[in-house]
Amino acid sequence: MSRALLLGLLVFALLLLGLAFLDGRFFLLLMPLLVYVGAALLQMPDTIPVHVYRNLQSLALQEGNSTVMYLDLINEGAAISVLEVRDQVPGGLHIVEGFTGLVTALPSGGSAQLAYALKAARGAYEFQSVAVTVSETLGLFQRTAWLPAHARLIVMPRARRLRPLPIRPRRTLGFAGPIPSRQSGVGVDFYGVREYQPGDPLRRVNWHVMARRPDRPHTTEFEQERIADVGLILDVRRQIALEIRGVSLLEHGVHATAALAESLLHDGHRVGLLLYGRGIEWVFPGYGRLQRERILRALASAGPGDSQVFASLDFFPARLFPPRSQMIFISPLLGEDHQMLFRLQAQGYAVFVVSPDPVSFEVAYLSSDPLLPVATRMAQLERRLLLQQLRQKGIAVADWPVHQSLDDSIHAAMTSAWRARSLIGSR
Amino acid sequence: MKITRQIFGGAAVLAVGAPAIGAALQGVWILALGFGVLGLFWIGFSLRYRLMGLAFALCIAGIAFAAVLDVGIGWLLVGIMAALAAWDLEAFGARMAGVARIEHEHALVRDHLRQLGLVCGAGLLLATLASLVRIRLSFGVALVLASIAVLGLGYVLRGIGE
Repeated sequence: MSRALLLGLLVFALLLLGLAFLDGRFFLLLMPLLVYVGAALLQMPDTIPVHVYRNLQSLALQEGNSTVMYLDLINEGAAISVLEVRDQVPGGLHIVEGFTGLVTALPSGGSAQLAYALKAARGAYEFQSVAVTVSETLGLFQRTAWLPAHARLIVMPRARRLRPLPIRPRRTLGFAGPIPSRQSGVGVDFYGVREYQPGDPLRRVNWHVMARRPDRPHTTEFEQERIADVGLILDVRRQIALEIRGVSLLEHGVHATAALAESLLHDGHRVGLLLYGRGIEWVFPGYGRLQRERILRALASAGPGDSQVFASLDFFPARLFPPRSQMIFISPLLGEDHQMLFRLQAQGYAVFVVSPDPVSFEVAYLSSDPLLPVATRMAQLERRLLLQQLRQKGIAVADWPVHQSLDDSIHAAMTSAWRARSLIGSR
Repeated sequence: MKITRQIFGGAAVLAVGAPAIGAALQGVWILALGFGVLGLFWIGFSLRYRLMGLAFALCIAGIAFAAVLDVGIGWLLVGIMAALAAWDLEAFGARMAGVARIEHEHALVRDHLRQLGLVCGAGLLLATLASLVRIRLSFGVALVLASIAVLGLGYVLRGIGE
């Protein structure tokens, strides 16, 4: 019950008692209460003449970093005896310093500032409104309003840089980079020997061949090293977004994608990103720091998608990616996904799968049970069979137990693919 | 905020103490004891915001009952004024405690205490002056005035509810 209502009821009761007993003393007792109500009514604020301006120190930050939220309140009306402000902080945000509430008195034209530092896990957070309550000095009557003060904070995943990825797409781009392009030109790796052509620099004449064939000089050729188009595809379908005790397997996928993007962009490649499962969320391929920012921002809001259309990989939009480019598919994989990956491989794309292991992820959170080892073994066999099918078709697969190093898993998979002579992009 | 706690304690003691003395002088020992228990309850549970309104309402009810039992009106007026002050300070303290940061706290407390002092003083003065006035009303006039008061208060209550 509000204070005003309680006081009103007591006044009413005393009045009725006075009338019932025809006793003037009840009216005397009533007077202090009436004076109190009257004084409060006289000072009761008619409106809330406060404007709120929200200002974030940085609109986007990386996981683990903090930012400061500033709320500036300006009184554009009469003096306010008591002003109470409470900011509505979206769930998931953690206040590390300062307070989200404030009580103050605000003179006419005066201002106040509320500031607090916050941290958050990866995601996009919307700040909508601020609860502002004004009251008279006694606090009996209050007016509360939700004043709009919109802001959006993006918390990007932390991207660790991996060792250079030895990818081998079938097509490279025109700029110098780390990937052997299967064409002769400027480079450091030996490519072949051809007959000397007028204009070839003498330093490139192969003297060993010339010693055997003095009549026909030969020139050493080097392999050009180029950058490539790389498409990162993060699988965000609901079926694969396993979540146990508040920890999501998708989160590991997001961090893996961020690390791959960071590493590939650092190597100079042109990188695009597709979030598959919620619709077509596509970051057009690009280079450099700006592209890194775009990709991390897209990853910040990546969440499980419930689209029925994209529940399987049947509608995978392969045409978004340049022909014969490198595709890196980050997904725990479902049973039927291999068909689409085979099709991509057949269309000339170099496909590399980074698969966070859902079995080891889930087992780590399960309580001990006599049947658990058997069930785990069966699930692992099923998964191993699926990955084996992919490997047999020449698709490199990094089976990544999420509690181990991503870097090691990827390079082990790459090395294994090299050894099996099923290199990514090999003809 | 320490000063408001201290004033609250004093007001609560006065709110139950003055009517209790009045009741004791009148020989109604049960009522005096009841006020004592209420005082202990009020001060003991004062940190619980939800009970605060209940203690205030019980105090007003006790004072009204004491008026029926012809306890001296002076004691009751002092009691009701102190109860009002204690209830107000309790709410003020609870409101301030619910907010992490208070700017210009001393000024806010000072303004509140000044306003409360003025209101209580004015209420007590008005009631004291009114107690000196004797007006004889006919039944019809009393009925009209009572109807106006009831309707007016009903209107105010409806407004508060909205």
